[in-house]
Amino acid sequence: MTDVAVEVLLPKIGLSMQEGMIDEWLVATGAVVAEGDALLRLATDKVDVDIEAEAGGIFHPVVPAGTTVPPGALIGWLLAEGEQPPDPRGTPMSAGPAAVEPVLVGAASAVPTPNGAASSPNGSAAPRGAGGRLLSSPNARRVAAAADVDLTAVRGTGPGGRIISEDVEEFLAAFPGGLVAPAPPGASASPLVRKLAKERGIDLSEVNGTGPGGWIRRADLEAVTPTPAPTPARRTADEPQAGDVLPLTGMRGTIARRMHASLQEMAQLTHGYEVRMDAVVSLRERLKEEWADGDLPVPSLNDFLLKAAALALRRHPLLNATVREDGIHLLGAIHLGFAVAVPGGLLVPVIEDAEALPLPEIARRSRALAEAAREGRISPAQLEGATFTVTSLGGYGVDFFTPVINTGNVAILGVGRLKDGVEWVDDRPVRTRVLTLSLTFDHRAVDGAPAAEYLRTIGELLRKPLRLLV
Amino acid sequence: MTTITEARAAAPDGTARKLSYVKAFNEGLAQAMREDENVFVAGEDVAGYGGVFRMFDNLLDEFGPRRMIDTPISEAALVGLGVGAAARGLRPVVDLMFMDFIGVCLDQIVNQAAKMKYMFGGALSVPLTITTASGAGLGAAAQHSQSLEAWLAHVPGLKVVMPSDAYTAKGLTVSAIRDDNPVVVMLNKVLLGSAGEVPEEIYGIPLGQAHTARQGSDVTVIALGRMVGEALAAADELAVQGVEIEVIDPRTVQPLDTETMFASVRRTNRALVVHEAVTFGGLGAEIAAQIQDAAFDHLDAPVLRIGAPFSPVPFSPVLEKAYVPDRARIAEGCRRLLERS
Repeated sequence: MTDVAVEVLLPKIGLSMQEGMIDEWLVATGAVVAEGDALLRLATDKVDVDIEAEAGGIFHPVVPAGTTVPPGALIGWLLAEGEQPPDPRGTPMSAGPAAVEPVLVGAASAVPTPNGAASSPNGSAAPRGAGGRLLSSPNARRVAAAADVDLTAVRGTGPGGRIISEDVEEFLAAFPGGLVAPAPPGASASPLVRKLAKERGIDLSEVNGTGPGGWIRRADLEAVTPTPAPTPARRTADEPQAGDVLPLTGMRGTIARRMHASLQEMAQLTHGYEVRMDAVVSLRERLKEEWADGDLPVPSLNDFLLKAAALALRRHPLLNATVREDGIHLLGAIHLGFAVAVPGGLLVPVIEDAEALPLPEIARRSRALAEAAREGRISPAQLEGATFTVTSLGGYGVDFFTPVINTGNVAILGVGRLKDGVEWVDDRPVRTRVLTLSLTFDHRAVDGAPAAEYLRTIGELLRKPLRLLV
Repeated sequence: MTTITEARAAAPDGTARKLSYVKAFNEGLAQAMREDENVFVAGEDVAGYGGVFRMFDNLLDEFGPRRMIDTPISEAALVGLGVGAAARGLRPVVDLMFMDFIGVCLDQIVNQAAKMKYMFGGALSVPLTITTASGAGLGAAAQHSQSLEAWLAHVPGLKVVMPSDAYTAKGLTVSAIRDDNPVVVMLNKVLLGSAGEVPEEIYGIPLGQAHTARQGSDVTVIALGRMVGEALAAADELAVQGVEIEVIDPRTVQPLDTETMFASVRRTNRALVVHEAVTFGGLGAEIAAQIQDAAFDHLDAPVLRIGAPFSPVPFSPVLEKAYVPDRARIAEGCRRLLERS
């Protein structure tokens, strides 16, 4: 339990996070929270992730679920027993020992009350306490009204935590689209709940919201329907039907934006290069036998390729670079991203300092990261900072393709299908094992010859794979 | 009448003449006396001695005892003399020496000078100028150090000017004498010796027109009298830290040019009012109230007032220094208004 009120701020997870939506508060208003308890589910443009409480206390939300705010925005309070939120933006508790029921006004609808004490002008369902008030300067309110910004999402930095016009201006700069209104009047619910309601044919205006400010939670939907075999939302989203419109939001939006940006700004071209895999294949067979009972994971073909790509980058630093305005920056660290197909898109977890890791370690990490990505457990931090990417379509039977470089990198290595090849030894055909590498590179930074040399180095490493083990 | 801008432009660069605050006052008074023979001076020790602050030096020599009159030590009689003479068509300048002495002649000022034109239906006017020295900082103790502009500005029918430098000491004095209504000229004792550029020719400064002494974008500082110089010094200090404050010198506190203040505050979104007088019930309260009324939606912070604590002016030099607002407190106030966590 805290001694004093602790602010709950929207965390910034990963370097590129610009906004996050509070998908769901995982604890009830007024509930006692211990440090480390999961407090909310945060939806970013990459992943959904559970955020833990950094301190203990009595939980009070400042913004309702469904609100989209920038990192650092004040979203809640953890209070001591009987304590009021120090900033009037928090939801003050009613006095007395039973101080767990927040006093809320301006609940489910934005209809003004008879005495004129309507909810905020833009219909936000932000909780307001009976004695509490959003602390903001008149000028901040003027600027916010002009820009249609919901002040409940803005963090105040003025005296006493008051929101001043600079806060609104900085909020607008960080989030030019303005605040996404949590919900239209009369249907205060998170997008997830709205989607579920639509799928189940529930009219949200009929639902009694039990969340802060009359916010409709997922659980409230259960009260309406006798739970007709709850189809997970994710399931339907994975299997698009003809006639659907898939919104360019979240992961889909990020992929769309980045891929388009990548092809817009880079001069991309692709080399196809066949490499011999006989040695790797036979080494794997041996490892499968020898390591069968040990605790060392047997590396997959992909793991061999990851390690080979990383080691080769050490010899060809031009491929491990980033192009900025002032020039091509050759990067010191080699952080390998590898693409993992997930429902609705793809994610690129990152193995840091891959060239220094022994192959079993790469195998262990790639397995764990891929699993986490598929199960939606991966954190944005685990998706950040790749300096080079490996992507494989071999499992789908693709030999050659033209992967698109991740923005900020100068190359990406595509791995094709493992197949039989032929080598002519004198006049005699010999069966070999080969696969085709597809290296897309940014011609602004890398020319054709060095790109080919990089591929040749990988080929050599794959022919003598023992070097890759350590 | 010469406007400020014309007067200032008349002084070519580099050849501008510098004059002390008290000499500038003296020159303006002398020129006004030359301009209009109805102007005369009455007060304690103003003629033979030239005034305790040397405000009236040499005037007896030029204008003689009919226009430079030493009076008995009776402020009520002296102001009453002025009210009567003004009502009969002369333009008296009466001197109260220390502003603190106003207590003994308030009836003449508040109930006679200020009311006469109104009560006679405009049949007569009272073109009376009252000069007096105000302010703390000279170790003159509680009965000789006050700034009582709020008392006077509260009374309809009076005008009150507070020269902040040598230039305004002359221009506002000339305008006060030329004005057809009672005007109190509050000279500041600490500023008496301070020098500034002063045009040689006679000029007036429009009453009720504020002057933006420094332009800035971050905080509007409205400073009265001697506090203008302190605010400008604070502005220099803050500018080093990247904070640009706008300094407004109202020059006249009654009538008060609030439009200039509002326009400034709408740009800076923050206001600070500073005066030497006790904060409670001071002009700062009036100005703050008017700003929030007119520019509420443009404020990012409550209007901050800086003034003296609610206490008589201390005699102890150490306490007196702590009592009077200064550049450090103004700068600190600005930082407070701009503070962000």
